[in-house]
This record gives sequence, structure tokens and C-alpha cells, in this order.
Amino acid sequence: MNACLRKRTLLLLSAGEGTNEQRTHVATCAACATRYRRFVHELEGIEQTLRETSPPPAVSPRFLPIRSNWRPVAVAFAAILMLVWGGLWLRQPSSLPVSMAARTEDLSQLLENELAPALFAMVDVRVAPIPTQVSNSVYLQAALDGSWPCEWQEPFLTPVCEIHPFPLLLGGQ
Amino acid sequence: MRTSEAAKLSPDVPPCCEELCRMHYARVFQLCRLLLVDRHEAEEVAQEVFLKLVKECQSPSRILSWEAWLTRVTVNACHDRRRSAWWKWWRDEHVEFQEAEFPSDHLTPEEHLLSREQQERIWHLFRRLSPRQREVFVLRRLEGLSSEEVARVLGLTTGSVKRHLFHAIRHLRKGLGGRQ
Repeated sequence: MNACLRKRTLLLLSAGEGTNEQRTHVATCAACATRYRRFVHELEGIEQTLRETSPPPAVSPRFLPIRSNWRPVAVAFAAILMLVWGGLWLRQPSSLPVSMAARTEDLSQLLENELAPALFAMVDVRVAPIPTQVSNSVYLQAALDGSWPCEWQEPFLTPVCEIHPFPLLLGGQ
Repeated sequence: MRTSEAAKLSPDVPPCCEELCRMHYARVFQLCRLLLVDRHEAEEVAQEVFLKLVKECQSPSRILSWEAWLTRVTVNACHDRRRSAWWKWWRDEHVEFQEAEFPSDHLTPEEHLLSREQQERIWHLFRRLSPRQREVFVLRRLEGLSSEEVARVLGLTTGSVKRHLFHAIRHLRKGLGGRQ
């Protein structure tokens, strides 16, 4: 065995593992022997500390969460927000992104085809008959006769009165 | 619970059990302390272990090696303690250190060479080991068991023991700024 030992092998050797062949190599190779001694020294220091000192006290857990756990909480909160937003977005197909040009075109077509005929149509409009002028003498005569037209009658019972509700005003006298 | 207290738990405790408590209490407590990294919890678990020892002494079963039995029971008790309380795991993962005195009865010259910061760093890294890595490291390196014995106690293969040991040492060295 001429090549120097790998770090893993040397670490395990320093921990008491390894084969006789590897130990022989360490005994004959100066470079590996130096590394091996350093590993052993470090390991002894660690073991001695663990054996002969007490573990330092830990801070009570109830004081820790806010200070040290805000990152995972924030990430989880952001993920939940994204999921909720994504769910809402998928449920609304009309909210698919549409270009402004397409929207404007649709709007103009809607105005042209649907709204304009409804607003400005002249064909279906029923022009109410313009009431004919009635002379004041007619009303005067009617008043004298005691038969004022439509005064005590319900409009729906007398369609003529419905058509001419204010004949005096239209008289223009 | 000290050794004498353990022996006073029951008037029927056999003398051999009392002797076992006296012999192994320090080792069991140390093992608990290392596996749980908490002095108070280690005391509680060590009490549980010695209660089991007392019951075992009173039972007709014959234990060939009390040392191995105690090691196995201690490891299992620590394992159960860790699993039973999820918040303790959480605490282990979010540990912070305070300025504190480290009482030690036997201060060696080498310990003085290690600064307090270095000691805290080592304990911090040790806490960050996985429970299995910690068990393997403690049993193999601090308890002095062979790889085969560790494998038997933990129910692992020898290869797994070596792998956990390597990862544990590498983690500790890396955290301490170990060089190639």
C-alpha cells in the first residue's frame, strides 16, 4: 500500500477502526502519520470535553419560537397564500389573461352590435299619437253641461282619457 | 437519586442489587448525560434504569452480564425519553447557549487548554448529531465498547456502526474547523 490513506480511512483509524494493513501504512508513511496524529489529538480533545464537562444549559424552549422560527413560518404562510391564490385563479376561467387589444376589440363589437341598435333603433319605436288640440269652448260647454270629461272616471276604464290626460295644457291658449 | 437512595427504594432489594447500583450508577448517569445532553433528564432516566435494575434483581431471571444489561437498558431508556417528548427534540434542534459555569470535579491540564468557547462549541456540535450517531459515538468512543458490542446493543450491523461513527466524527471535526 503505497498511496496515502483517504480521510475517511484515517478518521476511522483514529477512532479505533481500520485494518492491520492500514495501521502498518500509517506507521511507515510520514504524511499519513502526521494527519493521523492530528486526528487522534482532535478526537481526544472532543472526548475529554464530553467526558469531563457538563453540557451547557439550554434556553427554555418557550422563548425561542418567535425569534428563531420566523423563516419557516413565513415560507409556509407564503406557500399557503400562493396555493389559495392559485386555486381561485383556476376556478375563474374568465380571469384568464387577455390582451388589452383583444379586450378593446370585444368591447367595440359589443357596443356596435348590441347596444347601438337598442339605443338608437327607429323601427320599433311606437310613436304615441299627438293629442289634437281641443278648443276651450268645448270644455266651457262641457263645464256648463256638468259633464267634464274624465273627471270622475278611472283612466283604465276609459282609454280615451288615458290618451289625452291633460287636454287643457295642450290647448296652448 | 444517589446510589444509597436507589438501594433504599425497597426493603427487599437484594444485596447484590445494592452493590450493582453502587458500582454502575456513575457510569449509567454519565451515559444518560451524554445521550440526552441534559443533566436533569439524565438524573431522571438514571433513576428509571435503576428501578428496572431493582425489579430485575427481584425476578427469577438470570442476567449473565449486568454491565451489558445496564448499557442496553440505559440506551433504550434514553431512546424512549427522546421519542416520548417531541418538544425535547425541538429544543435540541433550537438550542442556544448561555454563559454558565461548567462544574467539574476533575479538571485536568488539558481541559484548561480548551477554552470555554471551544467547550461550548463541542457540546453544541455534539447536540446536533443525530440520536443514532450520538449513541454510536458515545458507546464506541466514550464507553469503550467494540464495534461488535455497539452493533449488538443498538441492533445494527457493524458496517452501520462504522458509518455512523465516521459521520459523527466528521461532523464534530468539521464544526471545529478541522483541516484535512
